[in-house]
Amino acid sequence: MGRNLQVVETLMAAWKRRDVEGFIATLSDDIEYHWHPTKRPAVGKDKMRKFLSNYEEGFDQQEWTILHSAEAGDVLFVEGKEVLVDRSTGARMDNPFVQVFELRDGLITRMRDYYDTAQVHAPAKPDAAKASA
Amino acid sequence: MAVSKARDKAAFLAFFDPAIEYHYHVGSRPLIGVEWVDRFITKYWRDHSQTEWVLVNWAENGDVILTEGREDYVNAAGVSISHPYMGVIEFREGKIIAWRDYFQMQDPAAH
Repeated sequence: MGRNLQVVETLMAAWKRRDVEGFIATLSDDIEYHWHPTKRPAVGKDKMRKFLSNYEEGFDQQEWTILHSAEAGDVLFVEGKEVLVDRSTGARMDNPFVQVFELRDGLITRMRDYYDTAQVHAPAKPDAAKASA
Repeated sequence: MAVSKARDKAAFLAFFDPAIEYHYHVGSRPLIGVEWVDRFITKYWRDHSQTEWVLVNWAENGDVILTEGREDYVNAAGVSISHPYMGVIEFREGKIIAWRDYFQMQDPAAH
């Protein structure tokens, strides 16, 4: 396993414990997190704490798994899957996704996630949940 | 990418294993088999103009390459579309056996 993947696995392990400061410790002070390519990024550790708080309030993330990864210099790619439970509806969603991490001195400076929000949010809509029930 | 830019279909299709599983958009139903890739690319090239395919970052691990880039085009309705995306390509014996593109579908005409 490459050293960059070790850092990302540390981040994932911290989140699985819901250890916010353990997660934050893997990030650089100037972290820039593009949680979706069409949305404004979260910049800085304080914004990341707020993002994680909002995320945890909305979703219970389960089964975060890496399927493929590859590193080139300071850039790490991962393809994975997660199961999200929408806390407002209880709907359970499979979300396949990919992420790009850029690292500097063993810390993550950039994270970019790629997925389609339609895959995540559609089942959470009350009508969709009713239709699939 | 070069043969795609040149719209050389025979050369483009020659990169694929006959059993290719192509997820042109993860979340939509995949295309199985090179015949479906043929149909897809025929329609794609017919309906899209000013196509530009740009790779920003990439990395390989064994038979898998993960890429980050951007796809720009003008659709059949004349609307300019830009997709930042990540693509995962798996090879077997030199041919592409699986391809998965992850992005936010913003083009209602693309399905």
